[in-house]
Amino acid sequence: MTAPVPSLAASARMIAEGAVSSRDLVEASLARISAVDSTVHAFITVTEERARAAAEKADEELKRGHRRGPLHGVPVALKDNIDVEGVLTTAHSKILANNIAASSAGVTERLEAAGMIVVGKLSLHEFARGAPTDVLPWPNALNPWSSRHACGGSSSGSAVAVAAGMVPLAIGTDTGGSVRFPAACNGVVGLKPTYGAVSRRGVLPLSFSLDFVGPIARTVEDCALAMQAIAGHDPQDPGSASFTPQDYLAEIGSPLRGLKIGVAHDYNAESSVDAETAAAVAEAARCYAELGATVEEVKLPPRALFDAATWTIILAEGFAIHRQNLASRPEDYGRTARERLSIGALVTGGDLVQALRVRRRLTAELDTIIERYDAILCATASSPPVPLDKVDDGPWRRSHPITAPFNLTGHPAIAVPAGFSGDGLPLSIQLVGRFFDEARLFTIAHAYEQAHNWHTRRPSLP
Amino acid sequence: MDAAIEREFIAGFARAGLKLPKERYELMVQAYAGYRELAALLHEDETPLTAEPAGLEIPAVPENRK
Repeated sequence: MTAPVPSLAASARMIAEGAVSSRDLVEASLARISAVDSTVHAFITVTEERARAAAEKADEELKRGHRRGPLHGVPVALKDNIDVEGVLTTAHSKILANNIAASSAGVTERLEAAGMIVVGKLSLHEFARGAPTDVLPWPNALNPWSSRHACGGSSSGSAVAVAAGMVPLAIGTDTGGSVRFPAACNGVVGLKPTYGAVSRRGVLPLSFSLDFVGPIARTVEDCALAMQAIAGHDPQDPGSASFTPQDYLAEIGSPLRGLKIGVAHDYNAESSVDAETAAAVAEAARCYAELGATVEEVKLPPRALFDAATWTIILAEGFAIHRQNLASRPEDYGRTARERLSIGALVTGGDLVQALRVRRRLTAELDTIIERYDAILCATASSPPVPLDKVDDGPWRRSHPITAPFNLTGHPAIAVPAGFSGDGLPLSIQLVGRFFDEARLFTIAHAYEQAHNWHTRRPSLP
Repeated sequence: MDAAIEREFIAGFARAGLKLPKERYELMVQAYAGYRELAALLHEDETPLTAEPAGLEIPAVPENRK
C-alpha cells in the first residue's frame, strides 16, 4: 500500500471503530515512507522495528479493552532535535551524527503515553539555524509540491512528511517560525502554542527563551487532537506553565457570530507581503465577515523593533549553546549554521539587556491589543515558497518569515492553508490568539478551513 | 568595508575563541554590520529605565481559560 495515510482524525476514528489495527496503520505509514521518501527526503531515521513492536503492543492493549486515548495506535514522527530513547538525535548535523538519546523528551513521553507510535525522526535545517542549500550528512527535505522550490524550515521534514502523506502527524519546533513557515510552504497546518503549554524537555535548544514545540498536521482538527495529547505541565521544563489544558476540540464547529477578528494589513505591508499572499489574507477577512465575525483593521507595534529584539536573543542564546563546538570543530557544521551561529559572538551584553527590556514592553503592548480580539489575522509568509536558488542562505538572514514576533511575545499562532499561487504553490494565513486560548484559535481557524477545500488537495507524488 | 565594524568583528571572534573565517570573510563582516544596524533600534528604545529587565516569562494562566 503506497497511498497517503489518512488524516489524524480519520486514523483515530478507523482504529476506534475497529476498521483497522495499529499494525495496519503503521505498515501503511512505513510503506508510504518507503515509496516516497527517496523523492522528498523527509526522514533521517525510520524506526521500523521499534514502531512494529509498539504497534503490536498497542493492538494487544486494544484487544484487552485498554484504549489509552483517541490517538491510540496512530503513527507519528518527530523532528530530529527531539529525543526518543535509544534512537539517534542528530539535529541534522555531523556534530551529533552518533548521538543516541538516553531518554525520551517530554513531548515524546506524552505522545507514547497517549498510545501513539513513533515511526521515525525528521530532517531539519541544521540545528534549526542552517539552510536548505547546505551540504550535510543527510539530504535536505524537498517540497512535494515542487522540488525546485524551498520547503521552508527549520521543521522542513516535519511539514514534508505530513504533506506527502507519510504520517498523519509530525512534531516540530518553532523558534522564529519553524513550525508555521514550513507548514505554509507545504500546504499543511502548523501550530506554535502559548509559551509554556508544551514541554521542551529533551529537545535540543536553539534559543532557550524562544523555542516552542508544536504539531504539524493536515487539518486544524488534527492539530487540536494533537494538543489534547501533548499540552500540559512538565515540572522538569523550567519554561513549562502550571496549568490545566483546555478541551481543544470543545468549540470546533461553533459559529463565529459575536467573535472579533483584527486584520493586520499594515503589519503585512511592513513585512513586504506579495500581492498573492495579501489577496489571500483579504479573502480570509471577507470570509470571516461572511461567517458572522466582526472584522476590523488592527495596528501592531513596529515590525523592525520585534526583529531587533528577536534576532538579538536568538543570536546570543544560540551562540551560548554552540560556543564550544564552534571553537573546537567549526568544520563539522554546515556553512550556513556555522556562519549564523558565529555572528552571535558579537552580540554585546548591552544589546541583550535592551532586547529583553524591549521584549517585555512589546509583549505587554501586543497582549493589550490581542485582549480586544478573539484572533489577529495576518500572513504566515511574505510569499509562496521561493525557488531554491533564491533561498536566503547568508550569514545574516534578513528575509525571515512574519512569524517571529509571536515567538518573542509567547502568544499562540497557527498557520492555515489559504489556497495556491498562480504557479500552484501553497499560500497560508496566520491567526494569533490570546495566551492559553488555543481552543478559540482552533475554532476560528477551523471555520475558515471548512469554508474552503484547500486542505483536501494533495501534491502529486508516486 | 567599515573599518570600525571590521575591528569589532575581529575582536569579537578573538574574544570568543573562534577562528576568523577564511572564506566569505567580507560577507560575514557585512552581516555583522547588518546586525549592528538592527540592534541600534534597541538602544533608541524609550522604555522607561525603571522597568525591570526580564526574559520571556510564562504568561499568567487566566482562570476562565482553565
